[in-house]
Amino acid sequence: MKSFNYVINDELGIHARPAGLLAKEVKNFASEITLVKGDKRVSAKGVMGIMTLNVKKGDTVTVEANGSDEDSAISSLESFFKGNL
Amino acid sequence: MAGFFEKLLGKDNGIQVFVPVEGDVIKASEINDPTFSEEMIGKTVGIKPSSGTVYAPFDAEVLVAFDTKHAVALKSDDGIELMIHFGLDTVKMNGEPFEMLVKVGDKIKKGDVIMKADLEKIKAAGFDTVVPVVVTNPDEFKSIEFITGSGVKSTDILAKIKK
Repeated sequence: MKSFNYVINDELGIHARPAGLLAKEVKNFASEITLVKGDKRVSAKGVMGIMTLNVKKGDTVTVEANGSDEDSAISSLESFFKGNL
Repeated sequence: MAGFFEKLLGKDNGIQVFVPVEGDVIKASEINDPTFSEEMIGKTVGIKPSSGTVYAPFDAEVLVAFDTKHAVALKSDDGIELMIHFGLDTVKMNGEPFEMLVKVGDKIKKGDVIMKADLEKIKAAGFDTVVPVVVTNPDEFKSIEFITGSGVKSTDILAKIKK
């Protein structure tokens, strides 16, 4: 299992559009990808799950990847978060 | 009359999703935002609103009520996850033209008023008022059929969904 932490920079947090983009990105990988905020964990494959975390600017989230392509998933997702959030 | 036959036919017609916002129902492809026109979040339809009142389209639980009050997401008792997103890019209005009348975890009934938007304020700020309505878990259903049309009311059916 690989993971990274990220502090949200985007003023608007993870609203509908970034949640959609993130879920789409996650579907490129076979690994199971989990988004964690505090004690809440959701599969990052589902837009609704991502939105239920109610992630705002300044929140720290953890992205975990577990599976055959976890290394490439984590490096892609790190760039995704830096570029979009 | 249509309502009578739908009741008569019952489940064969699928699960009914009623119109959450009155106005003209348009295809996803006519929504001026790729998030919705390309159906990135799920199976999508749009409503050009004639009023800012948002009604519960079915009996449901509230899954998401954004702090910015521009969108709400519901889970129906049949398992349909539906997001109602009032206007395009209205997340940037920071809640100003909106009133959110529900909170996460609330149980709501079809026809309940769950949200209100001030159409004039949204227009005045230069935003598009079109309301994308999205089934975010389309893979869990056999078919999702949206019914487009002008001047739809909250008592009309927006979608028929089969398990």
